[in-house]
Amino acid sequence: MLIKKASRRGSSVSWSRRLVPYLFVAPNFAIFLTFIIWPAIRGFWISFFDSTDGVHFKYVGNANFKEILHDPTISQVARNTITYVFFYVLLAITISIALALVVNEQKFAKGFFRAILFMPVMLSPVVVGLIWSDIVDRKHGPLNAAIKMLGGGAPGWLVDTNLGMVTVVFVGLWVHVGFYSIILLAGLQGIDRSVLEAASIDGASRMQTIRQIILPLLKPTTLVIIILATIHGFQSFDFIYTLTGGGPLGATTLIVQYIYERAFGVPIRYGLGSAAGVILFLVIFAFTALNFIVGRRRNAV
Amino acid sequence: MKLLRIFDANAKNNWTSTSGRRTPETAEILRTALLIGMTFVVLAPVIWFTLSSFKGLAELGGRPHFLPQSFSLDNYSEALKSYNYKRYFFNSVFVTTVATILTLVINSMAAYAFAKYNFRGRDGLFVLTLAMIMIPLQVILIPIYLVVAQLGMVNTYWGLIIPAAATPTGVFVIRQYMLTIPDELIESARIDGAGEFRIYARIVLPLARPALAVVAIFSILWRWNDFIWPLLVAQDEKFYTLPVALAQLNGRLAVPTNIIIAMSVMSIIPVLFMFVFMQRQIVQGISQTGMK
Amino acid sequence: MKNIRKKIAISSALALVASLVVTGLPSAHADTSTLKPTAAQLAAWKGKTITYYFYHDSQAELDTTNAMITDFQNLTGATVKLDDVPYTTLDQQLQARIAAGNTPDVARLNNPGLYQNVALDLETYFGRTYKSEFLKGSTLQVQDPKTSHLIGLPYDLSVNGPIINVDLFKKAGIAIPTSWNWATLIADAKKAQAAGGTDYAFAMDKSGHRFSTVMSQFGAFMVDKNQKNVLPTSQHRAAKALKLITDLYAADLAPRDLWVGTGTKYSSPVNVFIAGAVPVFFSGNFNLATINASAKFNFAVVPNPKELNGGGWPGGKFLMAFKASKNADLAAYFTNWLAQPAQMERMDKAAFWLPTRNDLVAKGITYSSRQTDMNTYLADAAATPAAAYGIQSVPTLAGNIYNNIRDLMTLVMTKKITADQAIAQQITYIDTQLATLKK
Repeated sequence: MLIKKASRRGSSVSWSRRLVPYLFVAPNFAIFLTFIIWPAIRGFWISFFDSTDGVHFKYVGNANFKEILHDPTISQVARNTITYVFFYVLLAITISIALALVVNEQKFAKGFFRAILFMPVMLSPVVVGLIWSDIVDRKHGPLNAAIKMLGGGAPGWLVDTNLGMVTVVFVGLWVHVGFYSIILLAGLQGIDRSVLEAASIDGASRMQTIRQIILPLLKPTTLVIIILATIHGFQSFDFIYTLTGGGPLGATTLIVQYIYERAFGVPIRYGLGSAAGVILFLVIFAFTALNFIVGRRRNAV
Repeated sequence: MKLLRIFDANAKNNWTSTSGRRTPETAEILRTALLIGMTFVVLAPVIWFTLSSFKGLAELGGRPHFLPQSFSLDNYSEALKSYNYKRYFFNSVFVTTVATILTLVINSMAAYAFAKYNFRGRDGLFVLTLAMIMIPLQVILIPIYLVVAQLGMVNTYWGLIIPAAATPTGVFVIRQYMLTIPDELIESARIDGAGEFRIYARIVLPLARPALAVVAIFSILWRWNDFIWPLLVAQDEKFYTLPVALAQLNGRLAVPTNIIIAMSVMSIIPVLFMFVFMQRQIVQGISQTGMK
Repeated sequence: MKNIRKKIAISSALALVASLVVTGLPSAHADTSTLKPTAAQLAAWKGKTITYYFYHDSQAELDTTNAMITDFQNLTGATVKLDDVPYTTLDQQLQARIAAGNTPDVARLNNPGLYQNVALDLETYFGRTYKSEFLKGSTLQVQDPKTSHLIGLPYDLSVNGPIINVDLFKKAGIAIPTSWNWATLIADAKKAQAAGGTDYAFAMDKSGHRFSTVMSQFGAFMVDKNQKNVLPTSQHRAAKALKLITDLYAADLAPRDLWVGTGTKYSSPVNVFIAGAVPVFFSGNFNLATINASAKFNFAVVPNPKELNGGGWPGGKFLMAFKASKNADLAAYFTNWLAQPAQMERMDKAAFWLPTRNDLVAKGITYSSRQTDMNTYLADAAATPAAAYGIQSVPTLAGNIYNNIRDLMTLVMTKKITADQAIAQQITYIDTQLATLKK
């Protein structure tokens, strides 16, 4: 923008000035290039090769992709991932918006509650996995102790396949929802108060105000949250791995764990893992693009 | 403040009474109760876990008791004595600090170029940056490891610090914020004869402080809690960070659960402190950056 | 003890005869069991560094290894860098390091078959008779498939078997068993559980290797020494063994959570045993040091139950030096040094390991404590049927085969399939695995 203005004044922009933005982006992109882009290209390239030791590679065309698509476990993994992402994103959005609205109204100890919201996201995924495996332990966990006190049974949170997914979605939400709420809170604070005052003068009910004024105004922030949650959802791995190892019976094995275990398992099947990685990237990319397009279109209406 | 009132009113007949203090209304009580419930859900597991850190291995495998049967600091002293906790702690602090500074410098430079310069390839590079957010680390772990190994950065602090320093998210957040800085400010500095780097360092960076604070917090959280990458690069125990040490212990044949819990608790405390002290800046930062 | 010594005597005699038959023996090698570095070697090694990729089962192993490294450094002037990795990522990390050209010099492994192509041939350093110094059964897993040269050393022998909580048994009025079968084991375990009010009656490491012990006792085996799938011939016996164990888990008499609830991860209920929450723990001598350090009750290693067969199941850890080493000579020397009688005995005593050297086996190790327990393991090692060593003929596939039966057991425990179906599926799986060998 600046350069444009300057050049309108005449082509006084020196050659060195033109170089400046490139120098500014250079250090960052040197690292991007070396440690993200180049490895990603290499991964893509390797997805057409097979190797069982990571040293010797053999070109196999699209055989890795075929093998993944024919792998009997992939349909379970895909189902798990879609289930997880769907419930995770849906609940994350609903709960974080609700929490943000509630905290925003809160007068008493607002700062404290905000701090509480943010806390779980600060914990290491390993620690999160350890904490929750302790809490939901079927025999010794405090959760089942409480349920028992209330006269319930002892649900196998990590042993029953359906409950396994419930637990994992819950813990995923436990970690991130507060973080999303904080972002939404920021969005709420950016809403012009006069609009709301006008609504109150017009005699709008509280639910009406939320539905017809606040939520539409919050849409750009919500879109950010949807995209963040979708990416988080698809990339969930480390706390799940600590918590369930992908069990029971593979019920919580999501795509990233599948890739990790193909690429890193025994024996190492690096090409296969890379192929799965390429597929995942395409899926995330498609979902994010879809979010954007749908979000944009809704906004335009 | 009117905004708050709107939500305080729980029924239409209350609309008229938007002024004047009254006894707490049902909505307010409900709301506070809800938030206390949320606080319980967030805190209870962490508190339980912390209490567990005072229990012995035998008690941990046995029936649950809320309070430790034999309150002891053995796990902590053991973690400090035979598990080199101090070294891991130092490594975590060192890696987190250096990586965060590096991230702030290079991310803000790139963000500045994206926000305030018009150059060939800018939009392409920016879209590329956004696309990188979508690549999960686990997927390209081995190729990154190959690169790092070829550069001889395995078992070095640089290997822990550099590969993750250029965060796409950081560039994005800072760039969004810098867009709000008026161009005129930069232009007038330029007319005053200030050099390009000087403008960035002296004028733009101080103005971008809220965004930098957000990225700093993110970076600290990421680096402090990161474990998949350091697990691979820090092969020598000398370079273990806290999460790596935890992952290592948790992967043993006979898992020393008591030590792991004690170490986990000790690893939570510093971030917790940081957050308590910087809570306001974090929230303000997020609200002032492009995330709204 | 007598039994095993006799076996060793026979096998070493056989090895001696075999070695005499082999022609072109390199005769210049000194006795490897007391080999000292030469002046030329010392000069060459001074200031050199090698990496020892290591994992440990107990703190005692780590401590002893560190002490040994100090001694080795004093002896040679070289430096040994210890990379201690978690058991669960042992192979993952090593494979990644080999792929990145960052191979360590020496490694302690439990799945040596994966590294056949990158291992250093130890016979070029220590002669063609080197193999004969170690237990024959154990060396099978570290031989080059083409040349049958020794490419690694058996570092310890592990034996699977039950460990019991003596206090709980006493409480139930049961004498410490000296011989039993699975029916009495389960009956006693239930009685002890009732008497002590413990959570569980029985617990087993989540491992196909551990379960193979039970199959062996019922007379069922998966692969024989000719790399043949022999599970079909013992299908019903295998199903019986599988049902026996999975029933315990399905009935919540064993910690199902640690098996079903841990996904693809290995898991050991050793902490459950240490907490006194289970009277019978089916594991192996590798957990003894940890239990000894932490358990606050009396415990004892008891003989494996006997059905058709008694005895345990062979296992162990291995040392391997790698071709990629820049100091291959030093790496080979270090490998041999760790397995020399003096060092091996030191480790065996500290960590309750069983020796893999014929000379040490013949001499016997005197442990500072738990001698009776170690004798029980030795007796079980001797009583292990020969067919149990069959699966060692497919060292590259054994891990997959063990893991698959483990995962099938999970399906049976959760009543998704029956024990018979599980064995049928395992038969198919072994076939597909063996087929990869022919490619």
